[in-house]
Amino acid sequence: MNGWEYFVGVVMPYIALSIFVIAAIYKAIRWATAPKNLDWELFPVPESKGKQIAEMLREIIVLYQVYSYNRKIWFQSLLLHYGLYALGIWLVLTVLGINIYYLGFLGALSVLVGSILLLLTRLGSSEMRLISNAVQYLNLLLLVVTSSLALYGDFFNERIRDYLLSVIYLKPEPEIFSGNSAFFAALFFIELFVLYLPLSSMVHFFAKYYTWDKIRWGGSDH
Amino acid sequence: MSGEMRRVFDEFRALSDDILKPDEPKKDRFVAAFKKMLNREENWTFWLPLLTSLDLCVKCNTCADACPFYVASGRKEIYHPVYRSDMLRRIYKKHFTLSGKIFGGLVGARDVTEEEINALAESAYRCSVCRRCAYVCPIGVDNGLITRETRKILYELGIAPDEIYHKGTLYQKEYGNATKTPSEAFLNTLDFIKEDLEDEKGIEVEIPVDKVGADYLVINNAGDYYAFLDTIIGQVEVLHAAGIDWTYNTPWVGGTNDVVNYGLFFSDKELADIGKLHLEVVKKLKPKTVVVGECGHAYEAMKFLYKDIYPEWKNVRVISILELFDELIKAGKIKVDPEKNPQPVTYHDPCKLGRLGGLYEEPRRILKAVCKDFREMQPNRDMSVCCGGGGGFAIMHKDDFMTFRMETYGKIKAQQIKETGAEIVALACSNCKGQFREIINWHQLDVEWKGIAELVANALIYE
Repeated sequence: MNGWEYFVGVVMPYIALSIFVIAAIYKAIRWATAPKNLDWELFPVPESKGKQIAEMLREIIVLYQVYSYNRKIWFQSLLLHYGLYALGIWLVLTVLGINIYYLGFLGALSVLVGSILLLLTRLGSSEMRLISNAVQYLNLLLLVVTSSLALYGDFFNERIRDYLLSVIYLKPEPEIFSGNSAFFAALFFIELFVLYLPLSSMVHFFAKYYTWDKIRWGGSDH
Repeated sequence: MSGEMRRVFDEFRALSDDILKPDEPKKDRFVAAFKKMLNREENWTFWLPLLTSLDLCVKCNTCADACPFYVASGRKEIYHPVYRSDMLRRIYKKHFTLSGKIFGGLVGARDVTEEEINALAESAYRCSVCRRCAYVCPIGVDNGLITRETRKILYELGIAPDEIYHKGTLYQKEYGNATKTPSEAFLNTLDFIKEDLEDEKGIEVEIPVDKVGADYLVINNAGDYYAFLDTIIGQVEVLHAAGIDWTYNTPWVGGTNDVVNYGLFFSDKELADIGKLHLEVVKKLKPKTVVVGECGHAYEAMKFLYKDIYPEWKNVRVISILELFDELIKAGKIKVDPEKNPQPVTYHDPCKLGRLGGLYEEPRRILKAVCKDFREMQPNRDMSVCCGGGGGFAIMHKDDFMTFRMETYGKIKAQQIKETGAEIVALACSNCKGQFREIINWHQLDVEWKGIAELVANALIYE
């Protein structure tokens, strides 16, 4: 095992996870403890908690706002998000001992295709180019590169569980993949993605709870 | 007047040279005021929405099609809602975020010039804060809120349109209403209304004033007593016909008979100051219910905002005059005949009553009850397009600002009216009335506008 593999396989997982957890908790606490803002609802507001949850689920499952108001990017966004959902489910199942290879594979493929299409959409739209900063392209490129490497490096193979468990048990065993440079390249970018996630606008995966529940719906019962 | 003032953003000017002082450096003060706005204690009104709106935009462009101004402008890039928000966001990233300090332009951080601050100031008055963009945003980013927060920062620098600040909130605080109408003149207007109803309709009415403990304290936009008197006359007739216990109130220093709160458009301090005047009125007259006349932003302020500014306000029941009329019709306290309004009528959903106030069905129930041929304008309800009178614009007209109002928002609205084939546009908001009055003239539409109260009064059946 060389120094690069040691860094990516032993050190980086904990750096990435620490930054992810600390940044996510910091932001969650910061937003959760924010002083109650003046009611700034947008109507109609779902009339009960149950209806609010249903609306939130509709957002998560079909990206309803994008479907309703920006159909041009809906399919691409759906592919990307479904890919990420699949990868999240794959991760949990794998740790639990149920490694469904094709769930991970298709998840990464979906992220790859979705992010390439979104990148092309952004590049092809003069309006989107106008409002984009470099970081919007870099975010999509990060997804493209990470998902490509995960597919190329066969990240979802049957030995991954052993490595994941070794990380969880604080005894990382990167030697499982020693010499597999494609795997370590994929792992490095996945770690980069994990640590970057809560620091970027991609944090909307949980920030949206606050922007909708505490702001759009006024944080009160209706 | 066009051409007298230096252009700082586009061909319009909302802020006079005396107020904007375009040649005076203000960047450092702007950044200092912005810093204050990012403090959770200082910005006690909208800290969280400001932060999330600044941080979370993924530049998906969903807001573009939702912004009537951007679309009507021919999609000029400087009017894109994200372009406008980014004018503030780049300062935020540059001065107040770690990523901006490290990565600079990569994440959209950039220092700005004095001229760009001038442009930002004007740009803050090219958005009516209708929040249609916020409504469609998949993330919950609110460009309208960013506009309002920008206005707040500018207010800290003494920069706000004189129509809504000096001649708006300051007049209201000094005289008890923004129209500077003393009690005697107000009472004279009420006498005129009584005489008019007697002469025109043969109805003798009493107009209760300053009655303590009434069921309903009705407060109108003081400007309505001058500009939209027919609405007030209709309102008096309906309230009289209903036989309910109601009252108007007179102005005094420390109280107000003007329901407007222009502070909502540009300043939390002014918002709270005017709210205090309204609170004093309620404390003095102890009504069971405060009824907001046909005014959108005042409904938003009184119904949703005051309760978190003044704890006493939590006990105040606030309804719109639309809700009252709806109740009166449903309860059979007034009888109406839709045949009395036979012309095709359409309704414009005011942003503040609809998207921001949730009153979608009340006006429709009323209009269907009192008009024979009610037609929906498209789009409507939550996706209704702002008429361009919101955010203070209805009373702003210096320089060539009227062209801006009429050739952007106004142009869209004129087309929507034409498509309905209606002869009457029913309006429930003073600012909308101010805007539609101009739209109808500017675009030479063969329609007239009426307040809801006028239509209800016209449909009344006396037994």
